[in-house]
Amino acid sequence: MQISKTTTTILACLLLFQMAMAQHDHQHNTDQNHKTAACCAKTPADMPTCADLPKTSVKMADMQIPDVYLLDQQGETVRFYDLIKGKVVAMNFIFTTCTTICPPMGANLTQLKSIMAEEVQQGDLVLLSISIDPVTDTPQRLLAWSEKFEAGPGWTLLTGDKSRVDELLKGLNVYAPLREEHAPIMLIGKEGTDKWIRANGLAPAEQLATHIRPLLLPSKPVNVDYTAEENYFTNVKLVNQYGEEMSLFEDLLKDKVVVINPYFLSCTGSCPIMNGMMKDLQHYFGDKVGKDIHLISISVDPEHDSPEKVKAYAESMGAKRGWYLLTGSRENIDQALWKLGNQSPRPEDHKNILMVGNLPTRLWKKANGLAPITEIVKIVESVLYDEG
Amino acid sequence: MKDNLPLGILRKTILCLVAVSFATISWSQLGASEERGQDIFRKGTSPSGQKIVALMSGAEVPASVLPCSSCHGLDGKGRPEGGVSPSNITWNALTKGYNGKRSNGRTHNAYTSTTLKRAISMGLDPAGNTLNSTMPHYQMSQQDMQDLVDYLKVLGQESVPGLTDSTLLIGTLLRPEPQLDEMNQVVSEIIHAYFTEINQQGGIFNRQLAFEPTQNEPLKQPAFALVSSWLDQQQDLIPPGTPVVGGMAQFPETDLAKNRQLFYLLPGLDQQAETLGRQVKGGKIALIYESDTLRGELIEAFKKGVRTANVKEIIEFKTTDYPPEDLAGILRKQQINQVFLLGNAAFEKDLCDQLGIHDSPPELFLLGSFTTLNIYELPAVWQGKIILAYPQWMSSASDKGKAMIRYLQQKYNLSDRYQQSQWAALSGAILLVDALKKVGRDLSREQLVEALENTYRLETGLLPPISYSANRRIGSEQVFLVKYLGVERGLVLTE
Ligand code: HEC
Repeated sequence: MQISKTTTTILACLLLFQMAMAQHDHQHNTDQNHKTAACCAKTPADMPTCADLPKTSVKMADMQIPDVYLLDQQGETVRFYDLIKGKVVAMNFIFTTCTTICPPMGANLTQLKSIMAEEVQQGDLVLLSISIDPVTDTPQRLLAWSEKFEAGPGWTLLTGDKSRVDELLKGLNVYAPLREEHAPIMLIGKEGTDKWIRANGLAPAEQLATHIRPLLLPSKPVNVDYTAEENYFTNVKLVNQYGEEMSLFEDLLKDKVVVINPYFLSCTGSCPIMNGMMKDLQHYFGDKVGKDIHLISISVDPEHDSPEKVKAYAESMGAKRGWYLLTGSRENIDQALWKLGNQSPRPEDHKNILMVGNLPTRLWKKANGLAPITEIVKIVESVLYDEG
Repeated sequence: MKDNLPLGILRKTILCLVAVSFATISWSQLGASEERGQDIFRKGTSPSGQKIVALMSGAEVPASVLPCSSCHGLDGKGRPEGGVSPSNITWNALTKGYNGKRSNGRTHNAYTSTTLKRAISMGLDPAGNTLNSTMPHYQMSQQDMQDLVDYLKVLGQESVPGLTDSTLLIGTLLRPEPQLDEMNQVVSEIIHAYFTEINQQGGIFNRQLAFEPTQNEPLKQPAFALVSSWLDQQQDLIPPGTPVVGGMAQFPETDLAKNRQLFYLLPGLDQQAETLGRQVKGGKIALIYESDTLRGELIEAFKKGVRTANVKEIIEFKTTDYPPEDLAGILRKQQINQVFLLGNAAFEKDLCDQLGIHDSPPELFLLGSFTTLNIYELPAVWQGKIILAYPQWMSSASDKGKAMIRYLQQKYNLSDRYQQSQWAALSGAILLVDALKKVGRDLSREQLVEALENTYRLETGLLPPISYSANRRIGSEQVFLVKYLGVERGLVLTE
């Protein structure tokens, strides 16, 4: 018999190992009281703990979506809310050791993805699968599972710390204590709205698509005839904090959802509160501000509020493009305020009222500018997601 | 080689002891067509290489995503989940000779080959009722469809390897090296003694455990499962699909895609090296090794463990580049305060002797189950300077565990040598019996694997608690670190 060199070494080691242990056993056969190192069970994922997370959650329909960080199939840490923010979402709930209903749900999602390829590719439709057995389902397992369907990019599978995942499942009202009993649900909806439904995840993908399509319709009708609006609001010129001239209708209102508040710099009562609120809205709506939304603050004291002063103030508030703090000639300001239904002869008398309008759908709402931000966000969102 | 196997005697004794006939078992009783059909049923792929697709509510996927067994179970009896109940599709159930109501509430005649093919390809039962839409429609070649139907006719009646009504055959893989014959004998005997005890208590669900060891050749009869204390070079002898409960391997195969059947008890050398690496405190460390792939991997594992924050420098030396005395000089000059050594026996001894000439040698890290260095022969200055990693240690055994093994050794008149291997072998046998008991009388290998996967903190009394999961194949991940305290006091577990 040929014994290779490694074999001999291993062999010798083995014998010595036995010897060393035997010798040791002889000398120290009572060391069982020694403390042994804690068994090094690995936690599935290192991720920010509870304490690192802002304790916020978002309410939608009957769901309360907690702010949780999870892991995607590539092992990257992702914030759940960031994935769905402002998107149309279709998500199902799976685990990789489930063999009867999960593979069909995976196949269905894959089919849905190919039916709606364009929307998925453009990022309008987000497809998610959330593991309901996060302890077993490591990112690698999810990746291997999803690869069987040959689905390609555009489908995110999520796992993570069990307590986080459970918190999310409970928030979504899909938590099942026994994973074998979980129902083949597909949750379909649009973030930011109450339009959510629970569909049968095993239903034909074409049928699921019919639930999704209406949600994807642009929230503003295209090719709105604005003649009436333009005639009414006119293009009276105002000056923003950058010293640029802006036409009321063309530059500020057209195609946008707008939030309008009056202010003046020397006002110490409600103005700081209202502008603080505008700042919060700017933060909350993020990228949408400037693109879909204009925040418009109009000075009711243009004589004192020079563009330079407004500029300094805007900077101090952290105003970015999309939030315009306006001043201008008294005459123009008055006309604008008049048209916006907020004219007040004296600055002190201006109302603490926010105008919220959706120009394409012509929906206008008033909000009390001193109400809690959550209330105001609700009103703004109801106008923003108005479909006419 | 075969003739001078002392195992011959051993095997004879064992086979006499367990006087059981396995005449009824052969490797596979399936015909060629049925065997191909089994592949289609279980994997959704055709041995012919022809494409098989599954259509489900408009989605078309490779059948490998939706093989029959994933819904109907390997036994064909159906795995209900989330309100979906796949039918029992054993031939018996499909051809029940009455026209009454079926479990799904529909009424239809017994299936025939033709109607069965229609159910598979079009989702219609013999009465023309549409089946639940979760049951995919399959498109496959005529030959594949025929093979599948042939298999469905025998599904649930196949014999399970190593299993009869009254017996369960467990094999063991012994170390191939002739030098280890004594150890092999000891290991076989302890497992066998334990099985004999189990049999005297009535066996497992009225089946007696039969036991057959093998060394360098495949088992004569297929075993239901294997138990082994070492798993390193024997991989090829494991027939595919056989669950193996094994002690340890130098490099356990933990890639689940390659191996779902192999369950190790103890961590491999790489995990031990990584744990040693974690002991590095700071200053300068030298990694000294003979360059071969095995040691290379261990060096990498060690480095993975080192927390680089405090370490000033990690220097690698190949043993072939320096004579030991030169290297000792270099280490001193460079003020190396820690050494991880993976050389050969002679080199390790010479280097330690050289370093031991001076008063304070560097701290030395060794893999206890790999090194060939006899530390008890080293100069006294090494006391308290050597840390060794072991995959198992005396301290993990409970009084009960020790009493049990002593009982077996005395009752069956067995050797008490090779304690470590005995502990591992016996622990493997205990684990296997525990899992078999969990499955019950209706046994399949898949169920055994599942039961093993669900093992959580099993106390063998000899090793640390054993746990597995769908992702975990190393039962105890604990690595024991011991310090050498001199000839008198020997090795002591570090805190
Ligand atoms: C995704 C799960 C799934 C897969 C995969 C699957 N089946 Fe089914 N099968 C079902 C379900 C659920 C039913 C029960 C349908 C019903 O009750 O209407 C069923 C019913 C059947 C029936 C009809 C039995 C009856 O009671 O009339 C046959 C035959 C059958 N399956 C064979 C197969 C074969 C063969 C394969 C593989 C080629 C397969 N199935 C794959 C889920 C599945």
